[in-house]
Amino acid sequence: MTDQPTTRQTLAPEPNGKTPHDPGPPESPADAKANRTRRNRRYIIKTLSTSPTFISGAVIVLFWVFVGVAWQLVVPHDPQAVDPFHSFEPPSSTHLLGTDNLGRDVLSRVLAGAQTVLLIAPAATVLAVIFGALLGLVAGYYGGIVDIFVMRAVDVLMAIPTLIVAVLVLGILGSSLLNVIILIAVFFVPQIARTVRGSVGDEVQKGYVEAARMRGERGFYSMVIEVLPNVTSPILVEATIRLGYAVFTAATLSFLGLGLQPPSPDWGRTISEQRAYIEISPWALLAPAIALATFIVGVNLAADGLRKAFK
Amino acid sequence: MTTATQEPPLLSVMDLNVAYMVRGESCPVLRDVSLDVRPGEALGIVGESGSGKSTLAFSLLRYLPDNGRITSGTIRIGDVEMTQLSHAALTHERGNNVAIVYQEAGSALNPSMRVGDQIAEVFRFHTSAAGDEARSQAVEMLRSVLLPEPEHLARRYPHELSGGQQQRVVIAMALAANPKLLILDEPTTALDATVEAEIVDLIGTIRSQSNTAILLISHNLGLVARICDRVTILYSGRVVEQGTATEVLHAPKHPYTRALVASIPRFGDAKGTRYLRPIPGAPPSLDTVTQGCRFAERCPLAQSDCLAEEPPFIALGEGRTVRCYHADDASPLPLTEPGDEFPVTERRPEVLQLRNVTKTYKKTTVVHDLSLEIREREIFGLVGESGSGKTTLARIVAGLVEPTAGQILLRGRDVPRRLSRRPRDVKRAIQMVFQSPDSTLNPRHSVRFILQRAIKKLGSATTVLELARRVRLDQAQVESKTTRLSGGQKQRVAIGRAFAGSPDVVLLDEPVSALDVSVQASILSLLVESRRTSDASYVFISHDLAVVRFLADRIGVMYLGWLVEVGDAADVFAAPHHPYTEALVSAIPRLRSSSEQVSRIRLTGPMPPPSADQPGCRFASRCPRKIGSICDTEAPPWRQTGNGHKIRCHISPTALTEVQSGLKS
Repeated sequence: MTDQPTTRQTLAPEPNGKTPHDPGPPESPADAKANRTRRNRRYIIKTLSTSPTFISGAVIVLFWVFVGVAWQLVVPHDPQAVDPFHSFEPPSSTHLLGTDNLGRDVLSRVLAGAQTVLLIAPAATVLAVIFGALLGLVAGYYGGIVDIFVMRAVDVLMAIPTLIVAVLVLGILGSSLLNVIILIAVFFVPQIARTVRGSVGDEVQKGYVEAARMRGERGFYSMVIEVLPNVTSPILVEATIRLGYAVFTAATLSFLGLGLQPPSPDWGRTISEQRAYIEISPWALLAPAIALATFIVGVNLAADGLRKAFK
Repeated sequence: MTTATQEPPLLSVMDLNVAYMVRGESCPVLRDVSLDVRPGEALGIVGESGSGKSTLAFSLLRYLPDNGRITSGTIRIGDVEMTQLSHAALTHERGNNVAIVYQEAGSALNPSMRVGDQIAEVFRFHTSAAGDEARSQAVEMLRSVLLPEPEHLARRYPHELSGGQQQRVVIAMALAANPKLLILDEPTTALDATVEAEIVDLIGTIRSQSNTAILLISHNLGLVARICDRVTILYSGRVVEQGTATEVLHAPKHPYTRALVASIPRFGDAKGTRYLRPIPGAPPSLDTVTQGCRFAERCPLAQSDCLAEEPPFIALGEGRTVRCYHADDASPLPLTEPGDEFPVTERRPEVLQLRNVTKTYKKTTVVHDLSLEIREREIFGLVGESGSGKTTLARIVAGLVEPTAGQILLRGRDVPRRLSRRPRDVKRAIQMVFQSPDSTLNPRHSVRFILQRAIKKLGSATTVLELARRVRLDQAQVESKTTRLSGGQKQRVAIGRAFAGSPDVVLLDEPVSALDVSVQASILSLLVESRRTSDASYVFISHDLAVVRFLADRIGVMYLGWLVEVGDAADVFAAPHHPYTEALVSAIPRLRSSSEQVSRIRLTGPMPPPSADQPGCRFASRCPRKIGSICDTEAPPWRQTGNGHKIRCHISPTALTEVQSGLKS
């Protein structure tokens, strides 16, 4: 026996999209249904480990995660070391990707720049998932007026033009790592809340949730112990997709000067700084841009693989 | 209904083997299946889920999914060898010579196309007809499946039709190209009993008017008995018994067929008069390799030879074969579950009272001014077709739906409408078992966790193992995750969960309708038996009247939100009863159709619009016994017939008895 999502799916698929032809769920033997959960988990792992999409994405992401954590060990030069005498140097054996306008080593700055992205994007995503999932759970579980109130509030949040608010808020509160993280998280809460709300809405109509209500479980217990474990897959998938966007948003804010302030080697910031010198030293601009692109593509590939595996 | 034996068969399946590729391994689903259908004959294929009956239907038309393969054997339809056909020839064959009707008509129709055009398309594709000619032929087709106002109906979209009308349209489409063989795959499973009866009538009409042969695939023995001349019983991909419908269903020889027949409540059976015999265990999974008989493991008559080698077909007579070594062993099947002493319920005090309960959604009345009493230790059956409001009523009692008006009393004390307002003791007292076994238990939890939690919250002295023992779950099942259980086992856990706090009233919403008949029997006998250890009353909701008749002490009949009749089970099932109950009862498929032919009542009128304020009887528009305009203008009164039996009708009980018993005799 190797891996299989469910026996039934494979044994009786619908020919040419026709109707289900078996009455009710199968009363299949216990041993056929046995190990279904475990098999399901193994199926996910197997699908992921044989998916080129997921593997390539994961490799790229893991590379940047490693760099972000251990950049101090791998950088050839101090990314902040200014050397006015060697500015705008093209790639050479000492400076593999050349130097920028202040003579700083481009490669070192790109590697070091991974750190801020890897801090901001996951932190913002985690925050957004926590609050988004909470709102989605509450709205979907209680329904009715609570649902309307929460989801309309979420809709309002979605209708706000992100960058304008970002400019305003960061302009007033000042830009800091924490502010950027919170701001991105707030922007991402609506999407996650909606996804979770949809999945929870399907679950709460099921017998097991109603049985929990009928034996007098509190709402919080029902949400966390009964419903939440059954909506983890969509939450995980949504989180990976949001992660890609978070990287992008963080870079955009930095590019606009709303993120981290100089001399941070942050990619968005660096792209913004170096674009003035594109004709003199394109490498100083291209290197962080390509780094950013690979990271976002990597996250999205991994997200795509996950989404397929959880289907 | 001719069974001319010398005519060459229209459909001839010889030693058909079908396998699915599962995880790179070939997994046999059908093994050496052979059957014949002669022109004009109706053959029933009976089997439970997993028996391979649907696979058989699909392989006949070569509609098998990508991983399915006919590994050996032949399928001949007329002179055509189906297994050798090219794709183009197959397309021609499907429709022209063979047509198939699926279980769910709703999804077999294109929702964005008028039904007339969909049928006309068949004519355009399979005949030379085009344009207006095809369209008028489509209307004729709709007329031939006895749909009212076919010209008008042809211009409607599928969603504007009822489930029964949709199924008629699908049958019309299947018959459009005048096929020689019509395959019906569970054609009525999704339909209400009265609608099912209409479809059965229609199939009868088709058979009398044309020479179309019918292959009916179903798990419903009553339906097969009603339609088919011959029956093939399928078990775990094998044909185990073949013969005429009368012989196989009334004098079954194979232990599996015998067990199957013994596991369904027949018309008129009640728990006081008959045991239901569940079949222990479950069929072997398809990838299980067995040397001997596939049924041996569950067979009470199995001996060592059964396990050693698979029995061959043994001919018992003309066209009657059984795959069993011990088919002549007429010894009764031993009881596999402890019996019940069938306590007769005397009139006990009322435990639950509903007073004028009403539920309206905007302008639609789902439950209309309904009053009802449930007595202690009573099994109260609530019947009605889809849309009758029976589930809503149960959910109101459960607190999951708030009534618009009315009162619920538990032992004389007012029960808050909202679940969150109900004190712990009321929650303990009123529990519910839900319909779908697949969503009733949290897939992330273990059986132990679920039962433990229910005991903790509902507060009783019982232990998990004690509770599990009462619903006949073993230790290993208690420790397993719910996803590892079969449908029947899941429903047992759900019943155990409801009984965790020794409830006063347990609401059971179609708890067995998603289960196979043999499993259904074990749940029903569990419910009967649990009355020995519990004082709980049951409200048992079902659309299956035979099951309700078997289980219930008293029965309430609902129609479009109205309670139209209530009384002791035997009283409700005999004249005088409400004209709607009469129609329901006459629609029950009976196994012994040949000997006890009952003229069926057909409900022809349209369903009234679901608006709330309508004077008169809700059933008036379809009532076959309507007496006049009073039915449309005045709400019918409750009429007592004694013994707590009451009927809501303008016709007096004595007059009802007259017309109804006249029909019955």
